[in-house]
Amino acid sequence: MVNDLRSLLHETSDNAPHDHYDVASTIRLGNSRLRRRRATVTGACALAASAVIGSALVLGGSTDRTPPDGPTTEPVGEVLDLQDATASDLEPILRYEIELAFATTRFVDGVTEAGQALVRDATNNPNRWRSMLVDLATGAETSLPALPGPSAWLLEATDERIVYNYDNSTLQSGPTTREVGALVLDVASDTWREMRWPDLPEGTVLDRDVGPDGRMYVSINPDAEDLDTMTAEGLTGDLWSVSLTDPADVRDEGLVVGGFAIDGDHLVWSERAGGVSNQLTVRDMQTGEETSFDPQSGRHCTQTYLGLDSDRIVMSQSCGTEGGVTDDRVQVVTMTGEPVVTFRDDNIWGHVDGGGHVLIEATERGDEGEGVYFYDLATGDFVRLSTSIVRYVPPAQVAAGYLLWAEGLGTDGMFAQTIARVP
Amino acid sequence: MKPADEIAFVDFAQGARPRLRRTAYLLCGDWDLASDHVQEGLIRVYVAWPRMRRTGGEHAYARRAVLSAFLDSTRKRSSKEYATEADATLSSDEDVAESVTARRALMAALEKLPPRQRACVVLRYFEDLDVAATAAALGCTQGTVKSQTSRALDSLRSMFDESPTGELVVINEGTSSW
Repeated sequence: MVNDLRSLLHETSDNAPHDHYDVASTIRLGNSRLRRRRATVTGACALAASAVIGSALVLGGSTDRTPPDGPTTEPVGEVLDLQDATASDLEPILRYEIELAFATTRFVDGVTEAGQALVRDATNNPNRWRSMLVDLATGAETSLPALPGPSAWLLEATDERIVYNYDNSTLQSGPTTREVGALVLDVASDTWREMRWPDLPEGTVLDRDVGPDGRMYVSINPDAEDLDTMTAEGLTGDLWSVSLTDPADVRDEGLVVGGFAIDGDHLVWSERAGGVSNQLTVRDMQTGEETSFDPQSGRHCTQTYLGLDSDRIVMSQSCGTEGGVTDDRVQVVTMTGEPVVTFRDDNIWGHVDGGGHVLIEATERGDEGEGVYFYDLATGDFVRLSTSIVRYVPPAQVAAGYLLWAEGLGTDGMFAQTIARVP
Repeated sequence: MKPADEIAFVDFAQGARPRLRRTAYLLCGDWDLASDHVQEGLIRVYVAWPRMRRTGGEHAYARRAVLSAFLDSTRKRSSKEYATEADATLSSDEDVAESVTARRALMAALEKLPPRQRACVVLRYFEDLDVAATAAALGCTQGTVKSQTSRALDSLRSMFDESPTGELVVINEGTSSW
């Protein structure tokens, strides 16, 4: 008799006894370990850290960034909630149903300007993840060279190049690093280039984006151990830009920013990332002209996201709780601070997708509003795309005219990603 | 941790746990111990979770954490304490079936391997990691993975040859699923 090792290993582990797993026990023990670690880190860092960050670490002592309960400032302008969404009649043009736990997990990272889905197979070797382009019109698949570095966030997918960013927040194999890097695919030569910048300071990356000059912009806080050290006060970072072709080309932009975002010729930044921010500043990167304004987000609103799409600024905010209901908001304003619309509901979070939409996820499991929604920044359409969400799929970037969203399919790690054309 | 992050972690942990538990069982030979290793691995993931942006690499990180928990436990235990539980599926009349006998023989043979050789076998032939990824997961060189795997396979084949179970082979060695 011949026994195949692979088959035997799978058959042997197939009949697992029932698992009496309580995820709360993992969280309880994890929090206990975090408290122990934080006590050590706080003591070590307090002397070295800046006065602001140092005091935040010492005084905060907790990662709870929930704003205080109580009355909050009402949103200004038009206010919508999830009930205002209409049903979707979009026809999917590509859909993958995926199981997280399989040896290879497939993710659709985005849709390029040429109408191709950028598909990444997260194989068991995280340092050589495979990717391909799927033509959405014909279904033709084009394999890309193996990714030479760790997994990362898609920043740009144009006809000329594909740019992923990675940093110390994208933990993979090996020890945690505080380095920032990028993987750049030159489409013409079909080769990946792994970029690192020796002169770029180490630190925790708060935000990153690609500017109109083709450079990558990153905000770096050199003192924070990681994003988990952020307290209710939030964090700021120094804005740097780097060339995506020359590792020696590093530039200090001379700005201290909270969150920031770039689209077209405009850079927008807030006072603090992950904290209350009462001022946004918009800079025209061609002329240097700046405009600052109060977005009137509310006294207690902690900003958890800042995005920019054409002439619309999008902020996701957590504004405390009233009567046990979370007051979360996704606020859209013009480049001069005029209110466009605010979505206000329980447990929602929103972000721009690069294609002219705000994707809003309602994250309360089992709630009748749970699901993914989109708001069309050009038409004002507000549409519900799904009745479930999935929380571990990377945010996607799409070209105009496409929508890409992820939804959960039950509780066993199954999820789906769908691409549709938007009229 | 922010509530939204915690909810995301809960989703991830519940989705990833079944597969992690199977891997851990093949490493340690005991379902209860496997649950402990997965618990320890997921705690380590939880601690790192706020730094882990959603990049799709969370599962690979969790697998490394479980492997690390298993290897840590073997350093704390004497070899005599290594547990191989009686598989509930082996106690029925099926005991006479060849496949069941082979499964039992495999677990017995794995038990006799040093922990890192056992890890090489599980990572290479259950998780289908290539040599480079196995080396990264174990924190050693690719040469070490090759030699450890080779020794492990020699031992397993030898143990199978000496039993009435039959020959042990690796089908499709070196092929890729892409």
